[in-house]
Amino acid sequence: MGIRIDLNVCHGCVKLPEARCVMACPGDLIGIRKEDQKAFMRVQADCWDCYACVKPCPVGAVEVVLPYPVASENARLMPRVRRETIRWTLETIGAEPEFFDAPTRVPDDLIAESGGA
Amino acid sequence: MDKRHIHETDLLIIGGGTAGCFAAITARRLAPDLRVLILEKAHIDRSGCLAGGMNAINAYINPGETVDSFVDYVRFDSMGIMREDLVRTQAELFSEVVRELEQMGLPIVKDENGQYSPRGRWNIKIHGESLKSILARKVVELGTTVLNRVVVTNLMLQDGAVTGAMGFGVRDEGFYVVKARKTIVATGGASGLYRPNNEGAARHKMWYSPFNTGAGYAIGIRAGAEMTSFEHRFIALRTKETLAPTGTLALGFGAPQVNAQGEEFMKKRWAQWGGEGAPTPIRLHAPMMEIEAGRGPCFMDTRHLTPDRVKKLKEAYLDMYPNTVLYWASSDIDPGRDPIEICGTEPYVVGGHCQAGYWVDPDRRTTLPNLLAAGDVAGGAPYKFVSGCFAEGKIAARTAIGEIRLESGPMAPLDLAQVHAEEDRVFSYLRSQTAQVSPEEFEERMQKVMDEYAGGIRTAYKMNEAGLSMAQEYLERLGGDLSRMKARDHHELMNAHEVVDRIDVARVLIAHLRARKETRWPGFQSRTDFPESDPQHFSLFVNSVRDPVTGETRILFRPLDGGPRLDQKGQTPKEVAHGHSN
Repeated sequence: MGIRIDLNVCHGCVKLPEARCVMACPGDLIGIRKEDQKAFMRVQADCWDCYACVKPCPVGAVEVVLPYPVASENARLMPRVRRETIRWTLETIGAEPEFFDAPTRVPDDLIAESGGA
Repeated sequence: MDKRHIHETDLLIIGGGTAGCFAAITARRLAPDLRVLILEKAHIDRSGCLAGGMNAINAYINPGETVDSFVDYVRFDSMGIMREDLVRTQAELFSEVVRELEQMGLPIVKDENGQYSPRGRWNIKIHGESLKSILARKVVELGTTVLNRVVVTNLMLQDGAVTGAMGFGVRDEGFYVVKARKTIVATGGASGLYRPNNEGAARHKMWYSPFNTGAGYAIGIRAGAEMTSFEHRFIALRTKETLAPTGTLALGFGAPQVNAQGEEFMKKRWAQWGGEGAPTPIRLHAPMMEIEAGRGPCFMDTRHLTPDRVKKLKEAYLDMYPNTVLYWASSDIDPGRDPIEICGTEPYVVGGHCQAGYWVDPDRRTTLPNLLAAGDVAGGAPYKFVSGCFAEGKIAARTAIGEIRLESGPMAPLDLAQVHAEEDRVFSYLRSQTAQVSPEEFEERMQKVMDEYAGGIRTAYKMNEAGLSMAQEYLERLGGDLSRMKARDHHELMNAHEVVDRIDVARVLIAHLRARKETRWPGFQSRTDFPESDPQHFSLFVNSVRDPVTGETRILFRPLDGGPRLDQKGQTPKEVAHGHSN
């Protein structure tokens, strides 16, 4: 596994020239399905886990899932970017969620809330 | 017929990553009247090594240090082999390029006096989660033309001089020709030459970007550019499974290496090499020796960290390799309770950590007229990391602009025969009616050969002449088999060219490994048949040139000062030739 795309949430960024995740992937691994305009992963094994597609998704539909040969899926890590901060939420089975905040500087058009919907 | 796009520019930059972006920014600021164009395989917002972010600048002159002390340190770390002129010229710019980055908006960690916060002698801490996007926006804002999703497959040449580059669009499926007065190659190094640590569904859980596939080396090799030091491979000491950098643990959080018995073996057995501060190859070689002696697995001991520091550690990884934090949570690893297991990566060819790449002059000109190199593809200057790539991008851009200003006259007309031939070659893997082998299968075969015969993970990085000569034979066979490769779409066509490029890089790598008949960098380049270093005969650079006509790779030796080649003087080994083109 590389990424999981929640098809109930993904809207394919239909109002943008190119979906945010499709644009971001450094490996050209994400496409948009013609039949329902939702994102799909071409080759899970070729994912680098870099979170480039996860960070700008306007609806939080993409998450990184570690492949089973590396680890069981016991946790979920989701970023939320704003203009000058990034907040990571780590949810682990059987533990309280953890939050991490760091400064950053995100170009305005890549902030999750600002567009794509 | 595929759609053909023909562009013309003054300065072409191949690869819009760390070095390429900085070259574009420099060129546009210096010469707003000249055209600058970037060809980028992905999208510059998140391409190359910085896609996931960066948490430190690892080459910086902190207070109390000087350019001289940096040069001395790099000589120590690279065990005597490096080009002082190159290391010095980039170090002189560290302060300037980091300041520029800060002005672009990069958050840099500062102490209570407002000074950059050091992390070890040569490092400062940053919050670089969006470093690549910050750079990319400046590139575009300054008026650079950026063609995203174009895979460069070859340089365009006229009478041996570079006149631009050719490639294809992954998305629009067109064929691209860019004519240029000057070209800077800045595509990064090569991963995936060897079988990686993880296989199958996890094969791209690696440290170096799996999308840096050696294209910049390959186009230069095929055009006859002189290359240096491919045998100075980089094998990174990394966290097990997620292959995240260990500098964060060692420099940022004071974690020593320990074996399974809890011994701090760097201090105990490698004190004469500098202990925990030993040269980078030794810090990889030492745990390998512990494992071989039955004292592994090995770890970075983080158990001294308080919960507050553990949180800081996780924050540091989130700026760069977030999946490490996910992995620890998924596997119930608490760095305050559990030491972090480490391992060596697959061997990479990369000029930014070690020094594999184009042989360049102090102004970053390659041996091919009109072609310059910067960043991980440029050789001879180890320890450049992010800031050194910025500096080299800046130096190369200054040189290119200076030359463009001095030269007048029209650009060379397009050599249509060359364009047609490349277009046929590029799309041949799509059009073949009989080919059946996938790029993935070719990749696996190449990685298997390299892993088993050329000092991969399987042999604990050790190699000898017999194995290397078999690797060479198998690679030549593989190179001769490429017409059996079939790409089903343009994404796979990109994968196909990545394999073609890596086979060319691997063949040059083998020639270099065979030529250095000593063990200069234990761990990185361990010859079982020449287990000692041989400073009398091998305090020199191993360089190579592939003949564009015959395909023969010729090895030549150059002195450490970068001067003219050593022509069979005294005990210097004679030049040797390896392999033939297919």
